[in-house]
Amino acid sequence: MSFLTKFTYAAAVASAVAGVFGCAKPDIEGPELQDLYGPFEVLEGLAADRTSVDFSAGERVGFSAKLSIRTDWRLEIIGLESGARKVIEGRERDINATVAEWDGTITFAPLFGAEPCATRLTFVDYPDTLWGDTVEVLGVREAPEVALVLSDFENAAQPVSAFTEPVSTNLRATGTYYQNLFTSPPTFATVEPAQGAGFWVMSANHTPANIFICGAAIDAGSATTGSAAYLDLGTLNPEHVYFNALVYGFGDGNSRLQVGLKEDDNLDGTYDRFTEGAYNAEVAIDWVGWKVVSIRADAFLRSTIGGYGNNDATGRQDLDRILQVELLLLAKEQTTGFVGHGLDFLNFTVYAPWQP
Amino acid sequence: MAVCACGIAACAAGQTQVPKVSFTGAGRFLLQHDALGGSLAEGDTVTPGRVMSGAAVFDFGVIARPDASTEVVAVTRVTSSLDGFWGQGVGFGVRELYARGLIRGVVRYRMGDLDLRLTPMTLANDNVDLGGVHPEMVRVWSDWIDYDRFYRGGMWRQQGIDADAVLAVRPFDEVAVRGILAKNRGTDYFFTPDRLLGAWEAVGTRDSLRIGYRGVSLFDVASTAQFSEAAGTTTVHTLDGKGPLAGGWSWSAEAGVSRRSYEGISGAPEPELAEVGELWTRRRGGAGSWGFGVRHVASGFRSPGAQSRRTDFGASAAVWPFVTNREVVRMLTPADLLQDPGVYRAAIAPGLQSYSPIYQAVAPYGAATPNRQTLTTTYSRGTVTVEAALAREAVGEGIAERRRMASLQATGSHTVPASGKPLRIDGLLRAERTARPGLSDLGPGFDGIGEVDWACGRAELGLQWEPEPDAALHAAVLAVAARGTDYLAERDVYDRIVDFRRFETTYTAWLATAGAMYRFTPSSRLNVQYRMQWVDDAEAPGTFAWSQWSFLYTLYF
Repeated sequence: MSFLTKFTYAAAVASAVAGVFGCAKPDIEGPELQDLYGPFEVLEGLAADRTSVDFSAGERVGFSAKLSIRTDWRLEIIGLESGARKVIEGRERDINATVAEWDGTITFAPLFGAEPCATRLTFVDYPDTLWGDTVEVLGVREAPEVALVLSDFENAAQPVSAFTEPVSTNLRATGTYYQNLFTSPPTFATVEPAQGAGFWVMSANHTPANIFICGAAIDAGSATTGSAAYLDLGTLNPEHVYFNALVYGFGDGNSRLQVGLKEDDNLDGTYDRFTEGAYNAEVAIDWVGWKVVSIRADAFLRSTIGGYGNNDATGRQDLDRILQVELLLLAKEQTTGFVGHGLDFLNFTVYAPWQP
Repeated sequence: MAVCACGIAACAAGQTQVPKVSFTGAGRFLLQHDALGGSLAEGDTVTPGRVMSGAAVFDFGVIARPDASTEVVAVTRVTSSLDGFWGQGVGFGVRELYARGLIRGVVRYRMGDLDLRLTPMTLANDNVDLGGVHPEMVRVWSDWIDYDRFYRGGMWRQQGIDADAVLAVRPFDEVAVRGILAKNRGTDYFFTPDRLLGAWEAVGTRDSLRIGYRGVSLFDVASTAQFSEAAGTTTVHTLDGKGPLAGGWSWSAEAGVSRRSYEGISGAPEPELAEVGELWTRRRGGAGSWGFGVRHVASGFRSPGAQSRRTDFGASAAVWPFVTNREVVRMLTPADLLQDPGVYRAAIAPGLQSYSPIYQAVAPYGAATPNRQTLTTTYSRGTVTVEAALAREAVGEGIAERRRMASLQATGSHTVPASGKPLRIDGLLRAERTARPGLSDLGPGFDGIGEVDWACGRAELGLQWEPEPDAALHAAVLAVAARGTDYLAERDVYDRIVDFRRFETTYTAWLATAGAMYRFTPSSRLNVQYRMQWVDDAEAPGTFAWSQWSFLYTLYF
């Protein structure tokens, strides 16, 4: 038998053996469809693994519930005295402490106090609401550190430059602030500061032609903490730096916040929009109340607005050359009516987002 | 052991005739006028209804031969966009740069830009979405995309070094060995490490028997990023062969394994081995050529070089990327896939990329599509080729029942009369069907869950009449249709299926085009075309009509 014939037979046998063994695979790949698309039932209600918690001692609360299918769920913890809210979202069938653990942080300001907190579980695709155990907070969490506070809007002397369309409101508010936010009912809205006594508010009734409504800018040299000409964030790595803010949403659904980091690339003390970089990030504001917003610095993209940051002299994001932070109120395209947002406690953190 | 070499030796052999410097290149000048229509355009006050655009793109290449065994190729590209904005319409860059040659007449090498292809299971770049033999009028566009994206011959463009030699090793007549190292991704020096592509092969031949071993590895070099220890590696090893059988039949086969592993990443899956195997028998004869093939690709089989997809269905279209006053992202249509190089990828990716079942659901990752067991038969005679396949999944996705699939593709062309003023007819027909029973046996609440009933197809017909040797009139029609329900897998960064998205749609796209071509010289020609496309997509907020006049001057030299 020739070499060629031997090899041919060997190849045929090997292929047949591989085919036979390759065919028998009883496993299912991926999650079971019945867990995703089957009938929705609550198999076990919402429960907490403790009735009281001392966050100052590092304790945490785990929550559990069992559902018949995987679906998008939303766990809310609501301070019954403060009104603070923590929101945890997920998509599991077995909800447990691994995916639903509360460490005392907030999603919506104000901060939690020593108070009883109600808990509830809702679902994106189903109308059910599960109310769980009330959890008593015995000790509150320590305030997290921040690398730099750009503004807490408490110091009336801090210079904040505002630029605006004529019809908009764009100013510092102190204390309980009443403003004629709506031209049709409701005629007044009450916005309380997220912390302290002051915050910044921008709002307007706009036409479809308006996308940019108004803006404010704070120089690095006039930041609440720090007075250097450039923001001192302690690192140049954009993956380690977070811009954080408490942002008030009015529930209009059309408002957007744009945060811009303007760089002085040639270190001459000024920002030249034709030659120096500007990096922007945008957040659609679709909530009501004060929400903690964190944006990692590498999510800021180089501005593509004509003649504005297009030509970054260094060609990269320079966190050590940020001369000014700009905050804009934008309206969603082709919308009309009220848009607005409130801003408080603008800060930067390093390594982790700010979680009050 | 004797050593011999081939390839550029031809250059050395004819050294007295080959000039020191020669020139090559290609170019096109395109002017097009697009008009938007359909119900999507009604009430749209944001999107411009008519757009005129164009560009001149010319590639100028220099081939320098400093000595008889060395060749340097440098191609620069000059572009000038007719709708340039603030001077950005003019571009100048290096499109290709490589050197190749022979070392002591033994080892052939190429360094710089490489064009790579090995086997269908290890390294290949086939057009699985709109592949096949297109009518001439459609090929005007698809040929340019193949050229522009370096896809010609099903190649992947990489950068690195490629070396090979031919050895005389018993019992073979000769053994060709080859090694490739290419840089797939560059480091950012902090968190993203370099990613390299290594490939190697040894192919022995004796008489009409060929036996090969191929290996391809896509791997991260963690130490190239200062703050990261994370690295992933996917390696494929295959053995392949090809030889004669009795009665005019021949066989070919390829079988192997892939291994995926991750280091320095908490929560990453354990290393996974997965198998692949394919066996073909073919017979050539006067009554046509037959082929029968069986293929098994395990669900965990990963071969980045063979499974990376060239079409990026997430890319923005060059013309009207957004439509309606709500600025809805416009899904890519057949016209985009035929005309827009920007919707095609240039790089090999480590994971499975998303696909559109509207174009291809049976084998969206080509022959190496994972989780498939396929029986294929082909028949070809003259210019007619028919391929039919029955396939099923190796394991069920989300359900024990496995999808069963069938596909049929026929292509052909005919010229009447053979001389004089020939009329050439080109045609392509492709149809696919996928089905799977659902979970109804679990109870009434599960009726229809998991049930798959998906069909898609494509038809192309082209006419080309040449009243004069250098002039032709063209007309072509292309239709793409799909309907039904399927569950599309959503995967995590490790390629594990983590969810399924129920996808139910009806889709119809018609593209009709007519025009004329005049060939100035054998290397240059002008095409004038009018093209109309209608798309009715249940996923879109309305019907989309797109008409276009285009003037295209093409030059290859």
